[in-house]
Amino acid sequence: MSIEVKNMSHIYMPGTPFESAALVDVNLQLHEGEFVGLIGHTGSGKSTLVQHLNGLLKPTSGTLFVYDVELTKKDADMKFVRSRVGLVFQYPEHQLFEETVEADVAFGPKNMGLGGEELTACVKEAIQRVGLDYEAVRNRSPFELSGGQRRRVAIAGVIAMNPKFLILDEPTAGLDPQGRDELLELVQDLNKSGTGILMITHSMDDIARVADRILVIDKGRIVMDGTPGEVFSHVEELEAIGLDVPETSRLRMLLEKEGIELPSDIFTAEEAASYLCKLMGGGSHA
Amino acid sequence: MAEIVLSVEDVSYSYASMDEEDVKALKNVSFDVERGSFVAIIGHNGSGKSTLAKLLNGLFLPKEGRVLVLGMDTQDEDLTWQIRQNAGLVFQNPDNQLVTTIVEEDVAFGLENLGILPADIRVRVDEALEAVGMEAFAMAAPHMLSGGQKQRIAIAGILAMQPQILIFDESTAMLDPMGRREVLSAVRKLQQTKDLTVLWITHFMDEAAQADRVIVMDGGRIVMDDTPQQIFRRADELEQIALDVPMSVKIAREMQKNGVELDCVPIGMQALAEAVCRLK
Repeated sequence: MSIEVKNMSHIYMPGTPFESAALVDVNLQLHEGEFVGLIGHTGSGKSTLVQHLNGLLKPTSGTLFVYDVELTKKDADMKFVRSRVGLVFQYPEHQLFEETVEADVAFGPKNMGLGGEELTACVKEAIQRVGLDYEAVRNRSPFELSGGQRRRVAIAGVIAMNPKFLILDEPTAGLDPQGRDELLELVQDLNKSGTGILMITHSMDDIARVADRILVIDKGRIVMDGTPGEVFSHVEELEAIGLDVPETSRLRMLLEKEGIELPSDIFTAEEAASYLCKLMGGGSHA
Repeated sequence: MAEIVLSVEDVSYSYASMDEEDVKALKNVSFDVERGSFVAIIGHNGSGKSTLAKLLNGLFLPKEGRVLVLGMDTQDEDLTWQIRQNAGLVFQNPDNQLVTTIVEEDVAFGLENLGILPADIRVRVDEALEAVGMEAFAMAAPHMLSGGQKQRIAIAGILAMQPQILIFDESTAMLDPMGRREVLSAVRKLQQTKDLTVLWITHFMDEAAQADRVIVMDGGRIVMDDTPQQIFRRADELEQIALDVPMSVKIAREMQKNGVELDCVPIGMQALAEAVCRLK
């Protein structure tokens, strides 16, 4: 098991008039190589939760194990934990600061003690893994690149530390449709090569299609935990806590009222169309 | 035919570049916008949408052609303030647009700069906050609000100037789905009840699908300009220029490939569900 959270709570500004509970008794296990989607409306506790998972925040109560390190202990090896769990913040391109792409990506691994050829190789690999041409971009300023490319550079900086689990906070926010698709593909590729993924998102169509498992958080509590098919069959409950559902789930609900059944684990246009065609008795059953 | 409030006539615009030729961001763009209409503008990153937005209220001036806002040429420096007062621009990041520590002061900011009398400011601020449904937050601190609430405050700040045209440059891009809905429905209500003209630049096809008219940009040019139904009929062309179509249209198109034809281009799942039921 990669990450285990037991009875974890987090209270912001305890003992002041602004005291608020951001996480309440969260129990959670994340497994090696899983692709997990984390959804919840703004203020539900998503970002607070993920910041615990690499030790940026300490829980007010409860325990937290990351790759067998008990994070809540005073002498926990934080450096080790952060080399295992990478965190890509929202709009990570805002955090680029170096003069060249290569130097920016090298910053993390260098701080972890890498140097010389080993460092160069690791930076090169990270830049290539995010789909950029190493030779073409290495000496360019990150600020000369397009928004989508800058985001890739920022992600490369985290991947360069070779994390086993990668947490991404709304990685597709603000990108155009093509940029969204490309970034999703990148995350899927990372997952296929063994990296565990925990992705915060508001794009329900996307996450339903790519994740193995969906966690729903509301008012600091995990309220649903299951496969996309299970979670998104609860259209009305999700809407009641201010969440969207995939378009196909909405269609399923609308058709159900008319007596047409659509399976709950259909999330792509192709699947929905071929199912509907079969149902209508028409179409080529090729 | 309704009155034309905004007229873009053969406009080109280029950015200076250090090492190469100037980068042409807009090439011979022409269109008119009728009073009270809701026009969506879509296009991938770098297609020229944001450049266009900044030309519409004189933040940028055309290198060729002209832009007329209520008949006023944006090139005419004497008219700049009158143009900006009439064509308000709302940007993407809510945090970059609010300047004061109390909501109602923020809404009053533009009015104070225009030298409006305090009593009139009071009335206009109250009306503007009410129009976006934020009157209860008049005394709140902007940093304690959600993204959608902040964008509505930014819109109120512009409404208080009593503009006739509102231009939104990806104003929902940084919001969560609830914030997006809040802002879009507030804007639709303003367009319908106050006869405001809205230009809505977006990456979200479901938002564009709700417009009266959709302008599609690619490579600095307008490549399509039609109703959402007609635009999303051309899914293949849209995909070629790195755009998407709403899921409902995608499903209809896939059904067509499988030999099942629906009787319309369904914009939205409700429309698709109804079309499917009609097949039964």
